[in-house]
Amino acid sequence: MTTDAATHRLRRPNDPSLLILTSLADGPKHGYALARDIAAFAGVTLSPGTLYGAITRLEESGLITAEPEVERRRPYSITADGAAALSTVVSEMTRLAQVGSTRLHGLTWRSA
Amino acid sequence: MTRRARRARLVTWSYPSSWRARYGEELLCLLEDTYGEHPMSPRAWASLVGAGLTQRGRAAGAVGGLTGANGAHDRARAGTLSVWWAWVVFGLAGSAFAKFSEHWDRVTRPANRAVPSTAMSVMQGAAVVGALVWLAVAVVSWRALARVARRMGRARMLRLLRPALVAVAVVLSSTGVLVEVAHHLSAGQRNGASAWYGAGFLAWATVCSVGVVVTSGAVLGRIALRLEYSRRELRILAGLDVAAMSVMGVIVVSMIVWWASIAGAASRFFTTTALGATRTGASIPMVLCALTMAAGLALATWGTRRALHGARSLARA
Repeated sequence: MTTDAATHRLRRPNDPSLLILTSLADGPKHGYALARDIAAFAGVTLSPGTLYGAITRLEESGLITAEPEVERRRPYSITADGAAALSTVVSEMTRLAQVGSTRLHGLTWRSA
Repeated sequence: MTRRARRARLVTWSYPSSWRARYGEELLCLLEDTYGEHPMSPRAWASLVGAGLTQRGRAAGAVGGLTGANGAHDRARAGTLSVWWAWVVFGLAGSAFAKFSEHWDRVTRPANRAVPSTAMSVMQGAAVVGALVWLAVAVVSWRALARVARRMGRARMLRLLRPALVAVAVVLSSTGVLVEVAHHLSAGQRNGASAWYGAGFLAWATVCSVGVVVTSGAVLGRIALRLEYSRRELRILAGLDVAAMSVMGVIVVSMIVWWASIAGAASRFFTTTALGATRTGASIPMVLCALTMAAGLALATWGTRRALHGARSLARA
């Protein structure tokens, strides 16, 4: 998968890859720590198959990289490409959220 | 090892060995950390089995792009490989349909045969076109295959193809046995009167289906994955993908027309098939065939789109 294709996948807010990149932006984590963090900040419980499917794709795309193993658990960290992809998507989402927020405010004002 | 850990190890077997070697241990750690000694939820089981099969599909090049694929070249190649896998799925369902639809004209009045007969002829014509398309694929792939053969050496290539050779030998032997048995039976016994022959035929069909899957797995998942094409060859293959997908589409539409016309004119045809006891024409074998063929067509459409996208990017580069 190309970096472009991987970035395209991230455009859904609940996409497991986006959630993983967001979690890793805070520092390296292994599978269980990732699942816990994502459940805490997004309220999404990723099933083991989904989590490792996304980790596999992200690592193949070069958006995350594996760190040396610690007690059978391998932490992952975000790469420069991963940070760039996350930044692009977050900027787009922020812009969309701002437009939505502004228009909603206008709608409330007109209703009142 | 605890019962839970044994079960978890069992589930990870749905993944391909290369994936297990890389991620298996950490996935087991995740399961230990998440569930401890508690049983895993059905959702977790389903997720692992589904993800494992998806990884197997990816490793064989059937879905999701080639493992480690990067760039337009690999996208075009992965899309084409998906179409080939789609054809395998489609071919299996099509063969089953050909068997289930045998002798339909015996239960249909001559006045009602025009539409189903035309639909059947269109299907047969499309199948011939499909065979020609795959002949063209073989011609285009010939040079790439020769390059791989040179790179690998004959011994390694034969080792990779061994499951396919064994499967072909088993299918040919079992076909020989079936033909020999059938030779000593009457037409009535061959068409439902003999329960033993019916069971034997079902066993033979199962052996053939497994044989096709094993052969395709070896040829597509072990050899075709390694084929390196030139840009021109990839563009031609993308065009052939469109042709193959169109053939599948024509066959699916014709099958639906045939099905609807027989269900309307002689629905009792479906009540006489071995598995589908129904008066509505929605017999279980037909529904399964139609769904499998539709799944094959969907995979072919997805693969063709991917191959065309890759080929267009290559042309622009």
